[in-house]
Amino acid sequence: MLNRSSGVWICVALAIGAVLFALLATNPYYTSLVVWILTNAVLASALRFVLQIGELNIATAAFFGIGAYTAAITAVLFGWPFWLTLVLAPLVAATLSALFGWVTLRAKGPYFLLISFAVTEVIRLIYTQTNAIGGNSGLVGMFPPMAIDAYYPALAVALLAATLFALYGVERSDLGRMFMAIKNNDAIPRSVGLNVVFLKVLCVVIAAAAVGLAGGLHAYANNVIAPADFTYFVAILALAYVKIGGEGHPFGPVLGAAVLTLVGQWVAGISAWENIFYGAVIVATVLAFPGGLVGLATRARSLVIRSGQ
Amino acid sequence: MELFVQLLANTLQIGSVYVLFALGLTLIFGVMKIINFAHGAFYTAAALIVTSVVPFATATLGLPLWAGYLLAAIAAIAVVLCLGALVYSLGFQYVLKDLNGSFILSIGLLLVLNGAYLAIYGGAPRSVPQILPGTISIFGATLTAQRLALVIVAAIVTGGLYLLIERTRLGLALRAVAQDQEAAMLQGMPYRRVALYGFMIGAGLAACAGVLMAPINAVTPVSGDEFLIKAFIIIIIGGLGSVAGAIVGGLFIAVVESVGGYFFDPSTATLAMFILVIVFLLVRPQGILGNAE
Amino acid sequence: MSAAASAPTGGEVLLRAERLERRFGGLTAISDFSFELREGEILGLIGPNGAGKSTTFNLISGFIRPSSGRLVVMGRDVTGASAMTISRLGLVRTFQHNSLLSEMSVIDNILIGTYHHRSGHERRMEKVREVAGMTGLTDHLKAIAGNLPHGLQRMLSIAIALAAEPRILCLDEPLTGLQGAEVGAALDLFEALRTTHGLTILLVEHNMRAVMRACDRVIVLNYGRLLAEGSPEAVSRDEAVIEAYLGRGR
Repeated sequence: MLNRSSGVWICVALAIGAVLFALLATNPYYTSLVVWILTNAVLASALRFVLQIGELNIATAAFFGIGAYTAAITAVLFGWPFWLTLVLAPLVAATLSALFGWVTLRAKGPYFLLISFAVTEVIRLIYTQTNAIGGNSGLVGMFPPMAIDAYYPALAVALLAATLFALYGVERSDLGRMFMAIKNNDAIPRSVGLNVVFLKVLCVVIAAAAVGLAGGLHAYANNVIAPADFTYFVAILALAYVKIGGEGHPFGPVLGAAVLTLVGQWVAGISAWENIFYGAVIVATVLAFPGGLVGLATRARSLVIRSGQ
Repeated sequence: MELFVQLLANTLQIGSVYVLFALGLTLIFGVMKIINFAHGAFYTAAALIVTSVVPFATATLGLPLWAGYLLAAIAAIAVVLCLGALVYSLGFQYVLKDLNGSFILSIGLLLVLNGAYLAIYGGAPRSVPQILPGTISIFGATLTAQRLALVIVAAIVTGGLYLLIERTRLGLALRAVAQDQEAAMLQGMPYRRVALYGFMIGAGLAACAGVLMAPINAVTPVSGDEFLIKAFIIIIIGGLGSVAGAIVGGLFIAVVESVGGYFFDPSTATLAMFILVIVFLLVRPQGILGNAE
Repeated sequence: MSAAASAPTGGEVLLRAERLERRFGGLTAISDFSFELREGEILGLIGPNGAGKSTTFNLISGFIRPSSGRLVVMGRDVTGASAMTISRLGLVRTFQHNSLLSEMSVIDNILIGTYHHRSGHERRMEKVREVAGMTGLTDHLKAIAGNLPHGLQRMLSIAIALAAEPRILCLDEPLTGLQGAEVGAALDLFEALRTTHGLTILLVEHNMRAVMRACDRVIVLNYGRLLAEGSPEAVSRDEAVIEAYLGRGR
């Protein structure tokens, strides 16, 4: 993939393009589609972020829901101001994820995966059982303030893109190096005095804050949320974006989310075949192109370079 | 007393299906170190096949109901075993011991299979006529003959599996591979073949559960998936890869569900179950009968 | 106890194990094991395969907890403390297997060692260059650790530990698989670490000639118990030690 800094500049240009598109496009279908793509990109990138420490965190879906419910509850039930609710969404998600991580990260691998799965279902069940927050039917009426209503898609896209860059920044930092070391061989960081448990919790918390914000933005973008929007399947789809886009590169999940969300618009509504299509794409990717689209592009590029010589 | 027996009967009914389902899942994990998210699809396939073979056998072939059901059971298990072998050799054998890779592969498979069931059978619930009509009364508690038969057959299958694991050469190989794959390979165990058999046995157990449940619950293309989440909880409690743990865990979850469901409501029982699991993990992350690493 | 027979060289006691015991299920891997490590010495820990050397290493570095007994590092009771705590007190270990971050570059490997006590990228890189220079890795900084030749991988695992600025360095079979000249270089490094950097070293090693050459004092484990203790010469003449090694057919 090109060299690193030019890659980042291309992504900045893409992000600015997306914001401008959300600002200028007049068809609400297209603007909400852009918001939805970026939301999925954040979900997928957050899932991949925790994969840095080697864990598959299905509860990514739960923290997305917690962000959405936090914004919705504080906005609709408490009537708190828009900006405050948007700040609270990632904060509450991060706080709860710290508790979650502290409890569950004693386990790893299959156990962590299954527990994160169970936690996601518990939280969804709690929504359905709590009448104060609408039970099964959820909450309605999260609207951005009138003054910014017209710009809301652009605002959401800008915040989501900033979140993606923030996740990338952490991955490139010392912290990212420590996460990678934990995945590679956690005995080494432990042996040189690093607090591995704390670092793992921190990794989960950062990812939860990212999806928490995405959840809050989603609540306002959609105006209505329900427990069924936050099943474990949200994380499963995010994992599909990661795998299809390419797990090895930070841009992979973004690409995967964009491609599959767009394709999903096209196949949606042909019921049985939608499932078969998604499933077949996932199976084919895992078996034939483990590097995903980014891996494929890298391979194609090296082929071109070699034949050009 | 009457209440106690009734709750016990409920527990055994629910528990026997959970045990069969979770046993397959835990066996596959033990041997291949993968979490098969598509396990429910084996259950569903078997149940759907029963719903289409029984009417065919009784109406077209003119067999009596019990014979039609027996034929359907054999057909269903045979088809699922083939499906298991196919899925293993086309997919899972390439991702053995790759937890994340195999997980996403199994999700892809689940989508394909569920989509295929939906395309073939449509979404409407399908049912089979009662095979064993009538009720039986024990200590004042009543249960249908059909459910009693379910418990008995499930117990026999579970016992058979236990004997297979403990007494046969294949069982020895399965245990050896589950415990330490590399050592087992050094001893000359053909790992890939053992893994294939383990996978097929797991699929077969899910098929048994599907066959047994088809006459009791209506079948939809996603029937099996309802058991998946509970089966995950069961194998966490029992210890991943532990056969005895899956049995104990399955019965435990059934107790929580039937007793909790009686005194409270079913969702509260489910919630209690999840919370129990989380508390459980705090105390004993490796499960009841799992070994610490 | 044979411990009374030997009089360790002077210097403050940096590590003291008192009657350590560790059971795994019904199996007792280590029992009634006491020893001291004094500042500035190179102490050898030897014993036949399965004698409990690795368990001892895991116990003193906090990777596993003792079933009973007491462990004192730098004058602090660290019985049951975490690996992180013990490492931050200055006792850093290496590993016999999986001793490095195989998918990461040499720089990243060594950097990981610097995080808990150095801040600022430049100061960390200073340490990386210093340690890489000592271990002969200067020309391989960009290489992926898993692709290094075996000898350099062994050196890298020591470099990671050194980057954590230990006072006690515990080396778990650091010479395994090294070629002739590499063994000599490694032993020179250990001596230099002791004399110029003031490190105290605990060395688990199979290579007896290297142990005899490098160590001031040797303790011998057999069946999880202390079998002998003393100077390399005395230990190598000890009847019980010879019996333990020959009796196992190794």
